[in-house]
Amino acid sequence: MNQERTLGVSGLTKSYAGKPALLDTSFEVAAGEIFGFVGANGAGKTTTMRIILGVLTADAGDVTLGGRPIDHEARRRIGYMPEERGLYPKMRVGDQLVHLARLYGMGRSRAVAAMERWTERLGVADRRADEVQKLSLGNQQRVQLAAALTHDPEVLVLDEPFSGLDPVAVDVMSAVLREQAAAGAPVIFSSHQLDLVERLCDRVGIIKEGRMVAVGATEELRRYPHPRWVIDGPGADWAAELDGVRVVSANGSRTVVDVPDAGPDAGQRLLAAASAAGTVREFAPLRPSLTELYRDVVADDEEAA
Amino acid sequence: MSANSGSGRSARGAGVSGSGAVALVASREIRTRITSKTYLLSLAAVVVAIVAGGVLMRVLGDDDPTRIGFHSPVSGLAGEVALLAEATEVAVETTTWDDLDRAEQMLSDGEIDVLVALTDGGWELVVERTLPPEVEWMFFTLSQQHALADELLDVGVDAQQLLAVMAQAQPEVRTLDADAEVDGGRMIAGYLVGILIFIALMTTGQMVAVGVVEEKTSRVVELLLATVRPWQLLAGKVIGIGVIGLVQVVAIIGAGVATALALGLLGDTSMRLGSVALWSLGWFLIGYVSYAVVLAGLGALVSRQEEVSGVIGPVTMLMVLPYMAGIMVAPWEPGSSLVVALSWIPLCAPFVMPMRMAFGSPEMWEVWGAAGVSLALLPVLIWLAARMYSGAVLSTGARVGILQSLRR
Repeated sequence: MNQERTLGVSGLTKSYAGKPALLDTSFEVAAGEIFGFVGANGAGKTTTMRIILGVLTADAGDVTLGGRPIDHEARRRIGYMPEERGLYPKMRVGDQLVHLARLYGMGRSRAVAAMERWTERLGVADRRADEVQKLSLGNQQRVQLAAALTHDPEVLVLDEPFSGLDPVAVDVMSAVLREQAAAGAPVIFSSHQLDLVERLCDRVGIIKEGRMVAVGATEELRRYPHPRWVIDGPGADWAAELDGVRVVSANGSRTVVDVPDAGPDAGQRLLAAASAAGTVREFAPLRPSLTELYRDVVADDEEAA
Repeated sequence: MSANSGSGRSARGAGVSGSGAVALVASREIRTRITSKTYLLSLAAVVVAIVAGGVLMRVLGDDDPTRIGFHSPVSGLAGEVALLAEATEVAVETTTWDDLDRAEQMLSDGEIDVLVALTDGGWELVVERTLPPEVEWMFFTLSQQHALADELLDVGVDAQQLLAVMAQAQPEVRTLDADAEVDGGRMIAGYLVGILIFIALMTTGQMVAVGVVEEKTSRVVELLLATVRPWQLLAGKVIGIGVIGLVQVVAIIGAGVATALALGLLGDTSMRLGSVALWSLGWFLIGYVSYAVVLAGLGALVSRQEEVSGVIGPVTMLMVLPYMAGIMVAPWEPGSSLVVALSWIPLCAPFVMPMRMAFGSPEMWEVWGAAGVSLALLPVLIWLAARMYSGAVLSTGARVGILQSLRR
């Protein structure tokens, strides 16, 4: 991993007119990693991203890039897609992308080449001469992404990049994010589409009311407190009789069990017991989906509060 | 995941410099506006209107001579009339007619304006409707002279010589207050300069406010501020629109000066045209920067175009008042204490001082002094406006209060 490009956020705190919006938010996104930022509306995702970009100033806390506090010059290496989409409505797509790339410090000819490359890649090449306002919402989104990419950024910060995209554009966007990460960029994006986050992200951060309530590798987070198995076979009665096994749900032939003190042979033991009771059609360790995890974490936190 | 595929990235430049960003923002403002048909057409229309107005003034200003027809029995009067007309600067054209009926026909056809015909007691004036007053006055003088000459002839005075002497006699006029004398060139220049600066500051100032709000409404400002600092965005916008405004003002003043000089519209004026024109440009620039930054700061407080006029309303009122005061008082009394005071006060001076310079003759130290006072206030205005702008430009939704924007 390239330490030079690790994006770090530590202890960010921000309040608006006395109302706390962020409380001690910390996480890191390593080079080449895709980080999913998840949380309810108003939880603090946009505020965090705006602080990373320097569009907002934090009351406390630091943003670092490659271990050094981020400054104006370093921020220009970030590609940003704000939650509030924004382009000059009456400016032509091509002119606009070149203008923005040049504001990021690109020379004219390189900016033009980058604009051509990205409009081609994102499927809006034939709209270069059109005013942005004449484009469909989906195409405006593609231009918006192009605006985040034309200056050849080393870090990507994208606020809700998938909202409003059609399925084809979602695929294009996913591919672009993977490519950028593969090229060594830390990529952070927020989304409400948890299935997408689950599929794309190496790591996930869940934020609730300004606090990070879970941060970790997607695979690690998707784990129950105790191992669970799903068995499609002879009902649930056999499981209820086993020691150290709790039936979580029984739905027809499908049973989910929870094993609090599972030893290394717990799976074998379960399978043997189930096979003894009848025919087993499916037997697998169960892992929660991100959606389930999210609901869990958010609900737990609510109980604690 | 390798880092080597990012090798192309290291080729990036050191980043755009502070002034580079300002220049880029300014050039975008200029390009998007100067290529707009509305801008080019309206500028062309104003320039054409100025030239056409000058030509029209020239045509209307030339007095058509009054055409006086003399019936041949009284044609001896023609010489005296011509002499009188020359002395009183009245343009006349004389003709002689043998056939009275034909002369009357010419009169009703409008070919001549007045016919002098013989009567039993002397001569009469025949007109279609009315006579120009100065011509009537001329004939009135003429008949008085004739009556006097007839009386004097009886006592043996040479009537012809007397008439000639009387026609040439004129009072000497000495003017005490040079300013009070109506100077046509000054009048025209004064009104034009006043209106031009007022309209130019109004439109460019509003352009700035609308432009700021436009970036907020379209939310593009957040994208811009991720790479450009607020002051760079503000400076670029003010400079860009300033260039657009300057092009307009230079074109208009240039058209005005060229038309006036080419057609000799100013007559013999005591005004120094070049100085008034250059200072008008200077005052436009001072006024523009002052108002543009204030209006940009105020514009940043709101998020929708409908709210722009509300938030900049007090400032546009502030622009109307000195202009109105100047244009109503300065032509008649360029040295009045109100006009002099306004010409010194920053934000008022850009409207009033150029008018004062056109209508009257302020001392040069006054002009430089007033410019100095206005320029001294500029850093304060810029600082305040920049704070308001950076404090409010990212808050979308409800209008931000001025104090609230300054606190951030």
